[in-house]
Amino acid sequence: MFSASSASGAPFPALVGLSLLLALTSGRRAVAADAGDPPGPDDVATSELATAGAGTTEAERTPPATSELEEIEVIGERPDPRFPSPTPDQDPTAFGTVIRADDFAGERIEAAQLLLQAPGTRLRRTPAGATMMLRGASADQTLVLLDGIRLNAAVGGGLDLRSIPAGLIDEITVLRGNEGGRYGAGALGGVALLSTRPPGERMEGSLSLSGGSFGTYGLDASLMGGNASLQGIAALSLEQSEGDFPALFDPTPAHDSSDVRIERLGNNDSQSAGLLLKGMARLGGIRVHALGQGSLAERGIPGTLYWRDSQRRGERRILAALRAEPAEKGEHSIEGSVELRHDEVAIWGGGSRGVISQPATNEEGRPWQIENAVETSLVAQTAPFSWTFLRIEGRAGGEWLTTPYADSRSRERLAVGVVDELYLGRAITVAPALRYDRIGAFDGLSPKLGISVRPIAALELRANAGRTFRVPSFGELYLEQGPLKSNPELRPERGFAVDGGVLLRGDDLLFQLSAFYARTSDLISYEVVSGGVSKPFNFLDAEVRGGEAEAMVRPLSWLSLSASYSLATTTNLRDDPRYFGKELPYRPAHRLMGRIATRTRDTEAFVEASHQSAQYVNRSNAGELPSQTSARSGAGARVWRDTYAYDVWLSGQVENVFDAQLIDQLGFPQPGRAFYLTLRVVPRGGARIERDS
Amino acid sequence: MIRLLFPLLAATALLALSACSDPVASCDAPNLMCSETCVNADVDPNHCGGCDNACGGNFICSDGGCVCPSGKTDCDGRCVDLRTDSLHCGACEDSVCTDGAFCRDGVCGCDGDDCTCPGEVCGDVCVDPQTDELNCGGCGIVCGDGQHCLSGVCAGGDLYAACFSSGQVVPFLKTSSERSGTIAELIAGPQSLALLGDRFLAVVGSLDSTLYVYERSTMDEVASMLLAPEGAQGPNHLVIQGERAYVVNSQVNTVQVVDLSEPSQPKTVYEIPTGEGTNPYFAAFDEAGTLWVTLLLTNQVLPLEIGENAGVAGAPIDLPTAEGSQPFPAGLAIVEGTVYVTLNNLDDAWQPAGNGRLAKVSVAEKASTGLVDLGASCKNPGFVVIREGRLAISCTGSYGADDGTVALFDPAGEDIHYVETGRAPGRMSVDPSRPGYLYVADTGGVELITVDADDHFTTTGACVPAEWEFVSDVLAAP
Repeated sequence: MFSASSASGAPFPALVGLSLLLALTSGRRAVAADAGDPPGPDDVATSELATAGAGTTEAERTPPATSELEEIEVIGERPDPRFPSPTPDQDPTAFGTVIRADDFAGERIEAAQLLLQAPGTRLRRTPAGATMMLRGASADQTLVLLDGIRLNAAVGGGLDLRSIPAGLIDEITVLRGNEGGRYGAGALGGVALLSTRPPGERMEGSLSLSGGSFGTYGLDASLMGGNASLQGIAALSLEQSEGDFPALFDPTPAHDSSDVRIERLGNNDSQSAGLLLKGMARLGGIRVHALGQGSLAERGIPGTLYWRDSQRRGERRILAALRAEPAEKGEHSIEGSVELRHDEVAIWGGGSRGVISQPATNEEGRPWQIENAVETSLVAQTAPFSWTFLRIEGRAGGEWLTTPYADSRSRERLAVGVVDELYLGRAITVAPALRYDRIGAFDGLSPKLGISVRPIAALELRANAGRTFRVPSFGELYLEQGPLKSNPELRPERGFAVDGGVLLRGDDLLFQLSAFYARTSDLISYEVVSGGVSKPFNFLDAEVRGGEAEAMVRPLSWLSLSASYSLATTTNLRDDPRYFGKELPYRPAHRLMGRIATRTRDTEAFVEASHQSAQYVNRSNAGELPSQTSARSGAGARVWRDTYAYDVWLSGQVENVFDAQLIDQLGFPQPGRAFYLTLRVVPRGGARIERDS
Repeated sequence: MIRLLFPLLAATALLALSACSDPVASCDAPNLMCSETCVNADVDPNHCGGCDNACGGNFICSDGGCVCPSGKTDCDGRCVDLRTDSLHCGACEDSVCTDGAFCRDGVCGCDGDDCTCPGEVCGDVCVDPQTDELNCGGCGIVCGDGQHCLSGVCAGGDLYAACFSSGQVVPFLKTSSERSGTIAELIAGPQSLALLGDRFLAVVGSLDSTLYVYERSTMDEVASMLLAPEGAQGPNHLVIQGERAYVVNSQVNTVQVVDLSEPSQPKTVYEIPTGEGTNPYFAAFDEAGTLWVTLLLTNQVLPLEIGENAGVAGAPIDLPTAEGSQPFPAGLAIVEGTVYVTLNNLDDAWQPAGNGRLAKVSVAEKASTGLVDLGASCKNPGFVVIREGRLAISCTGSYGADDGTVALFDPAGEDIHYVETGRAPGRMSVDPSRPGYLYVADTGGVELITVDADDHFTTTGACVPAEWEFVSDVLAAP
């Protein structure tokens, strides 16, 4: 069933071709990791490393410039036989999940939905945005990096995932657990590493058009190409939605449901655009990677069903990075990078500004709040012995906030980290990490220790322990936002976590089972301090216990099944009998997810279902939001095949198949059943084959 | 290398685990944890000087010791007022008034030639059933431990302060401002207090959207009712008339009518929507039984016609605005056919934009009739009550400034004067049995402010001090 050919069109055995190309273009270490084999010292010495936190996917896919062999093009539809895992560079002992956008080709899907594919994640959706929580930690305690650039804003509140153009994402790695030792302060719950599409040598493009319910349209396009010395990719993502879906509204929620009526939402529209420019150039003995990513968006803030709002939110973001590394890596190497993040957010309009916790100002027009962050890094990597691989990293930079709501603020960010991987034979890996972060007036150490034991090739036991901290945000420290006051006296939140579990890997199977315990002290919480006025304090202590189970299996070459369950039971340790021992609000304990996907030469289909348990709405655990169960499904077919190795696919999908009444964390309704069509033109075989080759 | 790394591993593990300890509930000093509750052993009559050291009888706790309330004397384990107690008239021993005489100013005698007992004769003794703990409200009705006879009702106190953060409702004796009785606790964000008859106290918790009912004598919880099965109602104000409670739910824009005829089994009768985006805030009845509700976000006041099984919202009445972009109509009081509504008059940052204002609405015409400037000494006016024909208005001032006043406005002459409190006055309660007395919640601190009939004020610590604590409501019982 495989069709493969060389560039000249002569038959070529597919498996042999794939193996050869993998050997030519991928770091051995990454191959070993994917295969489930432990990375050995030789793998370490020859691996390519990305910038801190960025993962290595791009570097691993970059073909060495020394390859002088005849270029071989593999055309085929053979599905990837293995499920990807986080690479050793990302963390060799952490429990994590890799989500590849290609696996969702043909689906209209948001970045937030992609992240939910990983167990341990929860979304905090409100009409103002969607943020991610990991293992019961808050959005502020979960780091999100895009191509190595930290997206969490200094102003706080967690990253609004809606600000990430999903069409530009290539892969997401979610690492669960305390990752401060590797990724720095703030990673109490874990880290999400987002990667945009990498450039490639082959000149090709792709185009995707989608449209559907509630005035939703999208366009994603990309073009890449180059040669061994110079490669680039440009990608564009456009999205717009009216968001005017009908929703049930109960004007008397305490009594008599006969008043329930259907209303169509207003001021829920959104428009966004994202542009990615990415390239790699070899300049003598140095390989330089450049990234530019810009996005802008405007959307309505609908308020809640009970407090409709007419406020609008605008966002602009520019990310830029330049990284230089040796073109040929030996046992020792040094690389450096410069990263820039420029965020602008404005909220304007509305009749009652300041009421729904939005910033307010007398400034006319669109009061842009601007945040800039610059970081430089220098990474030295060495493998002085065959059994160890050491990376020493220094980072220096700062973040600056200019806001119409308060005085401008800035603070420096300095970090020094050491990460080691000790290979005690081929069966045991010990991975200690220690990082010192200084962020403004706050500093602290984040140690982490991980261990991996592989009694047999397919089985791996892992355990981790780590501590880190989160510094108060500019918002918590300084920003007065209507009824939300600030508190310059705040201390950092501090937390530690331990976890352990087992991984089982085969060619067509991946199974993970993990359990964890985490405890955080000095949690910052906004407390009511007067009528309608709230102020943040280091008010709470909490612990989280739980675990994740994840299984992915491909019983047939065209069929993949995945399921996951995650448990995160929070316990409030605040010394108040009303709250002590109770669950933290807005932390659903259980989440269950399942997905069946098929992909053949000419067809694709999926069915996905998820269930999230009820969650409390206050610390007293006196009221709750109901559990949420939903399903989505879709199917597509190749409708045209041209002579230039491009395929045209038409896919349809149904979101919220059973039209369940879903709500966000403010009780605001989510869309009911929705239909979408996607037409895409992609290189034959799809991007996955391109990835492999 | 390996020698360097193993200490690093050990140090890492130690650092990671060093924060481990068994979590237990605890209290900030000097409070004590007694039966999973934080108590102030200096003043708590159930834990006086230490856990479970309950003061018997009608003793109160002061400085960790059980003592009699001010004006009373310990006579064989019971605190009595030697000035009025006919069993202990002028002294504990050998001082029973007999032969129809009764105790006045510590002397057995009569009111001139009139020896008619001004109270009630129980046995052979003339007693005051309004204050006598052995015959409280009637002969033979004995108040239990920790209870006082207050206006003929056995109760822990007759003045209550709601402490928002700690979730407590703390009883006091209003004549002396002394702590008394058992605290009601475990409420998340007690926001509004109201009396149900003379025996029960009702509270709404704004953070747990729950209506609580307490027995005043023991402060035992009689009932707690989650206001809605899902989500949060955000109750802000509680009004009780007869056997029904009217809960103003700010978050979902309703007034919820709850039947309390059986206090232990509250039942929602109906719910009246006030309109999307209105944020109803306070409510008050006029003489005709119309319930007027302020709508914070739409700058309106809304009349509700209250029926037995349903209510009808009238047309909302627009209020005038001042210079602030957020007029925020908050409290209201109705005097002689006019609804007076306080306007916060805030700017976008929720700071006072100018002087506080009082909007006037004609009950008959259901229309706005004017705007009163409350002057530069009244910023951010929030709550209003009627005190001896005048409107007492709490002018909270700027958050954190403690520059609030109580403005006393005469609706007839429209003159106004102020009581400078140096606090942040919030909700208030007039004293039903002491004309001119006014109790004010310190919404920026932990004080209970008492304004006497001469406009002098005193303060009493009501809540356990904490940076985030404040008094959210006060309530004076007869």
